[in-house]
Amino acid sequence: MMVRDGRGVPVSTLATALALVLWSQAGTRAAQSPPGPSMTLTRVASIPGPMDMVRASGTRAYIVNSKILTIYDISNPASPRREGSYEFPEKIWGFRIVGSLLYLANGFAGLQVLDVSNPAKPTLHGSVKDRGQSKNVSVSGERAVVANHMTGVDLIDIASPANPVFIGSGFLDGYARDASIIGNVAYGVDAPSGLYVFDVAKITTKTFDPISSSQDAHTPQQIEVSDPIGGTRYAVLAGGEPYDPTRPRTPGSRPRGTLQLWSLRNPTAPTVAGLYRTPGIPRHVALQGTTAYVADSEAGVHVVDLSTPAKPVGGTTFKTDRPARSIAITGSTVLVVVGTTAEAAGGGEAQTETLVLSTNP
Amino acid sequence: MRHPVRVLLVLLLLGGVAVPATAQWHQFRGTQAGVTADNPALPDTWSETDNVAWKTTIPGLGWSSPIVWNDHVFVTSAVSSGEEPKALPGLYDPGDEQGKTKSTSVQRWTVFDLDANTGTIRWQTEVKSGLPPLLRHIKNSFASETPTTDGERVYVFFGSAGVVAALDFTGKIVWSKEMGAFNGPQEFAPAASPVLHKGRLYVINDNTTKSYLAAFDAGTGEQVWRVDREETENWSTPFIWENDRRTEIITSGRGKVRSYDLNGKLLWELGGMTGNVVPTPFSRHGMVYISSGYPGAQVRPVYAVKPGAYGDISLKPGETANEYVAWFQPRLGTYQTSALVYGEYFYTLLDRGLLLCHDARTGKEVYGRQRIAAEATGFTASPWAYNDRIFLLGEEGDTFVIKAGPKFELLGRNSLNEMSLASPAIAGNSLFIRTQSKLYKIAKRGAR
Repeated sequence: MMVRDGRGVPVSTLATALALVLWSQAGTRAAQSPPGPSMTLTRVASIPGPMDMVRASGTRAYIVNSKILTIYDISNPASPRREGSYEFPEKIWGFRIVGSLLYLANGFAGLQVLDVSNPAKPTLHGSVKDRGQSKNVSVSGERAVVANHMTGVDLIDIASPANPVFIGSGFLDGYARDASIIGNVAYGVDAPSGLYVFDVAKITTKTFDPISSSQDAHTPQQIEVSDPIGGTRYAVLAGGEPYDPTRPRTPGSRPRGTLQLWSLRNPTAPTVAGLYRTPGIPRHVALQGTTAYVADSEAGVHVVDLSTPAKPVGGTTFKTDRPARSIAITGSTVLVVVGTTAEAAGGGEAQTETLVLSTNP
Repeated sequence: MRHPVRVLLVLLLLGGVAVPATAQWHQFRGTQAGVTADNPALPDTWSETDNVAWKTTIPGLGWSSPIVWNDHVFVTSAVSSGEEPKALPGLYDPGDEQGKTKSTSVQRWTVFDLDANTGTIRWQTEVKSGLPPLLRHIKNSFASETPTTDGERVYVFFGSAGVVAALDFTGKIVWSKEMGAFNGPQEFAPAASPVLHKGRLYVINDNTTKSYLAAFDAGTGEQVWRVDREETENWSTPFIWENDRRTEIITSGRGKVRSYDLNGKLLWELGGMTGNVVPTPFSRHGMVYISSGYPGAQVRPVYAVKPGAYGDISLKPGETANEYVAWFQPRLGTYQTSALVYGEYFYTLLDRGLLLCHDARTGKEVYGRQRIAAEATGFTASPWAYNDRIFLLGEEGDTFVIKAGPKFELLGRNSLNEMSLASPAIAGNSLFIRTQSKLYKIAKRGAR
């Protein structure tokens, strides 16, 4: 679907033009190294791998290694304590935390719901399987959306988390990477360049269409929807540089990374509000208020202030000795998975660990 | 008959767009890119037991298509001495290794001849055996190249074994040539099929070592010519385009689409393709249709090209047509399947279970994405058509039957309940469908 403004100009075209202007400015800003959020990130502990990703909530960290999710008590960040773990049927591609329930995208095993109210003994609470491969999940109220490699964005009724029910799928043009849902509005991103918005208030059909789509979000790997900033929510996309059809990438050139902020003020026509070129390639981002913590691959951890979405400002960087792959923030504790997985090492030994950092001076 | 294929092609040209009902289906997708003549005896419903004339277990793994010449049905397979990694149907992310798998078992690259009347394996001939020198994608096989025949010999190319060969109809190897086994940068193993034209066999192999297009004397196996290609990996079968100007060899590739004359001289080239080029070019309405469409790519082009071009016919930025590109769609191309032109319509089967329809002459949309069925999974086999029906074989073995024409209408579903990636063959009154382990002859009772 091509959304048009009142003059008949495709919004995606305008978004592209704006993105390119912002992209150019982002490069200028990066060169000038403006001040950003100043804080000190101090390593206080580490959790040995192997591991792929991390999320955190309250005093707990949830760390995934392929099929296994392990829970750590990080109430004393300097001394993380393993509590329990759970093995799923397939590789865990993504997950999100809602209270004492974890919603996990478990490949062909679909959506799995894990009860972690007893972290020493997590129990499977529910699951639902659809065709295709579940890659990530987001939850809002009684609805979950799953990024599905095959089908796009799957909508799941989780009014009863013990018995999730598949409702339908919204097709994405490319391969789905991530999905998010806030209230009755769901979002999906795909490779190479898609950002899609779905109104899921009254979906009852097996298939549904987006209310808007844009192909200007180049290689988004992840979407996080911010809390309102100045009354507007923003989709924060971690990924590559904006697509410029007039300037194809030079073969062999190194891809560039950005945080892309899309204003969701008008869900039928999201627009690029700001771009920030990170020093590396953002693999994963965690939001805390208006601060983005970026696992920025070889560049380590990079912190970006989003309080003025049109002008994201980079600040603290924490160098890591291996690529930063995944990141989580809870309170004043940042957890970052660094290293190379066994798969990425060509079947060799995984060299990963989770660094526990403190934002306190 | 010395050149039955040539006679058949001449008949086709004389007959315009009419498509003959024959007992031959001599190459990948037949002579008309999946379309065969209307024939009320052809089946439109089947199951594992209904309208099944026979089904025969084929040893090993091969995603090559069956071909048919009178009462001979040929298939190829790589028969492993051990367990091979199991692929799952559907489109999925195989992880950081991108689906690359290594086989540690000895393979026997084998050609089978089945009696079309009974399904009995008449003979099987091992062309080569050994440990596979290449990795492959979990959903590829070591025998994905469809053979071809001229009614006298059957010609095979096993890219993963690096061998091209001709066998007579008794299973004797007439000639065999070692070409070397090469992979592309993703190490997914080759799959482009050989094609035959007027006594020459054309073999393409794009890889990171030495990409080539080669012509062989079909009778002797002598290499007539060979040209190097600036490509690193493609899976698209070449197409011999006999148009009203000349005969040319159309090759599709990530770098460029290239047309060669029958002596290997470059005639024209067209840029703008995307990576992972699989669909096979084909001709209809006086044009050749070319496409590529990896879903993770920004551009997924379809081009309809008119005959007579020379030089670089690539579209300039902003162009959607030029002197030789009749029409262009930037995001219509398919990943694995080849498109189908049936009558006036250009049908696009997207790998994730959606069908689109465009005007074959102009490229204008007739209908947009239609989900074939809620339960449909991935599609790799190319569509085929007869009797005003479009047939779409999904990776789980379900064939969805669609009404041909400007309105999408699902008419039915026929299930074989086994993974299916190979495009079928149609010959006489029968349909030949290959699943992962079996070859089915589908035919109505009383029309076998």
